[in-house]
Amino acid sequence: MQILRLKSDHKSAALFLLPVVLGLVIFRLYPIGTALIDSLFTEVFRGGQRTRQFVGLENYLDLFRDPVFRNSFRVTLVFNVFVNPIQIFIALLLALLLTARKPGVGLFISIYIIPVGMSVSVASVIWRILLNPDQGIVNSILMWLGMSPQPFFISSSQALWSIILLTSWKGVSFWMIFLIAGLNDIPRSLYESAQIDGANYLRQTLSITLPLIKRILLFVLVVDTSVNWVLFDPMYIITGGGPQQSTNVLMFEAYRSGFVFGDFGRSMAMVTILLASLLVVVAIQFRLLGRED
Amino acid sequence: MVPTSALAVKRTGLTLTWYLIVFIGMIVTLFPVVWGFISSFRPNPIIFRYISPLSLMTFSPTPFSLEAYFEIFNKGFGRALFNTFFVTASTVGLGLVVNSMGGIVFAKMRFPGKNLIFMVTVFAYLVPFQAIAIPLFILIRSLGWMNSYQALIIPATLNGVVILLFRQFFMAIPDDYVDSAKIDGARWRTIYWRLFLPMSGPALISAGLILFLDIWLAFLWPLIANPSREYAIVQVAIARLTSEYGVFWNEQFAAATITAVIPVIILMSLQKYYIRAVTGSEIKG
Repeated sequence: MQILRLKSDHKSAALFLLPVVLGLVIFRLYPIGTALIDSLFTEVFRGGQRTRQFVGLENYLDLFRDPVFRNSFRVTLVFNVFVNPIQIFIALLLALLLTARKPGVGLFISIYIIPVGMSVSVASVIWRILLNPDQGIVNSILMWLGMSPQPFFISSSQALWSIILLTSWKGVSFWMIFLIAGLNDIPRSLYESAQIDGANYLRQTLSITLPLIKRILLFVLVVDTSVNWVLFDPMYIITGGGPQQSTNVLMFEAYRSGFVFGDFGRSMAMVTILLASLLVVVAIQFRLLGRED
Repeated sequence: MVPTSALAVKRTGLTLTWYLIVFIGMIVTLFPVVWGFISSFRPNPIIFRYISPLSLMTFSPTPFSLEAYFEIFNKGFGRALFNTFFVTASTVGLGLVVNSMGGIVFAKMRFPGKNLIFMVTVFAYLVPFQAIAIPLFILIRSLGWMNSYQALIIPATLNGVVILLFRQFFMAIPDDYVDSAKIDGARWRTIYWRLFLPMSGPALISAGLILFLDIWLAFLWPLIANPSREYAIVQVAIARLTSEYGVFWNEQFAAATITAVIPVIILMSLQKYYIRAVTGSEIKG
């Protein structure tokens, strides 16, 4: 019986897995390989013809000498240093609020997850209008409250923060779902015994809740970072990387190099750097938060 | 008695604070959506008129007009909507089949190297798709797939999260089912199609939702793979509306409303399945 089963499994497994493996190789692994290899070439016009020429690490060396690239790398870093902790902090706050046993919680959750069904591009289209400096409703609300109107996306000091605002509006509820699930898994009895010991809410959150959802927090941080590391839509739809390149993240600059300036060698070198740097960041996150204690 | 009533007052105070904070959060969440929805029914000449200073008129869709909705369909939004439906339906349909096939292999079949293939699959699909969009474009271009439906459908069909979800679900089905089906002479094809899939209603709904949202909400890939208007999907069409007709706010809101209302309604009505899907497979898998 056992032997019969093993034998038939091999053939079926190969057939059943064929689409998965083909898709994996063609649409995931091959493009990563392409990025690596193409980043070592450049396209040159010689005698009216386009030819590929091997340039070694020249694309990379050019990048590190290029102030535009250095700025993009810096903007990507700054953006991620702020956007990920902000999103996770708000998501955690909402999750703590929405796991309280209060009437109407279910309805609140349904409303809070509306942005999960909206794309970053639609969110960008809407927030571009809301935060319009001259006719935007946010500015008229600010003026109604007696504050002065703000330039938002057209100011080099506020544009990146405005993008953080809109991506957080869109993203926070998605991360909240994971944290709610994690919080619901914590046994109630732990809190009851803590209450008997006289621990207050803050104390309970810090010494029971946070340690017990550490794995989920790490998971959310890693996935959130890999989303924001390659964020593109708001830059394309709203800012075009400006003003003064203040929102020119790596993903947008990689797109622009290839699709606006036709320099796919430079674009591929940036994609490779994006992937490698994301790997490093995720490794650091695992190193810092992944320890079992 | 005094301490007890003091405690009760404190508890009521906490409950009120809770409702206040949750309510404010809800307003922040809903405001852009509701205001965009209301503004989509304004005729364009007066779209700016009531914004400042703030008044009741700012939040009321009067005079009411469907002009924006007619206008975006004149600008080709209907075609984009059709493309989106077609691409989404094909991706979800194909994706349910191929990912569940992968799921059953990883859950129930035995062969050497399974764990290695599983690990590579999971890790490769963890790489954000957006990051490989540009090199993938080079491949699609050399295949001659630029401006085609398959350029959007085929790369989006296989989904690591969905494979994990099916694996998780199938692992919970006892091996005895498989064994007794095999004693009756059933082949894997039959076991998959006649035994496992009919039992997988909830998993199919969850997986379908994930596939649906992933493809419906995508932007960068459809933007670069299908630059022609003929094969554009709604997310790209709405971005074009923004860059080419920047001042027609009512039209952008109308397009945003149509683009968002379909996934939001589906998500809200199948909320339980979606929450179970993302939290179950992505963390425990």
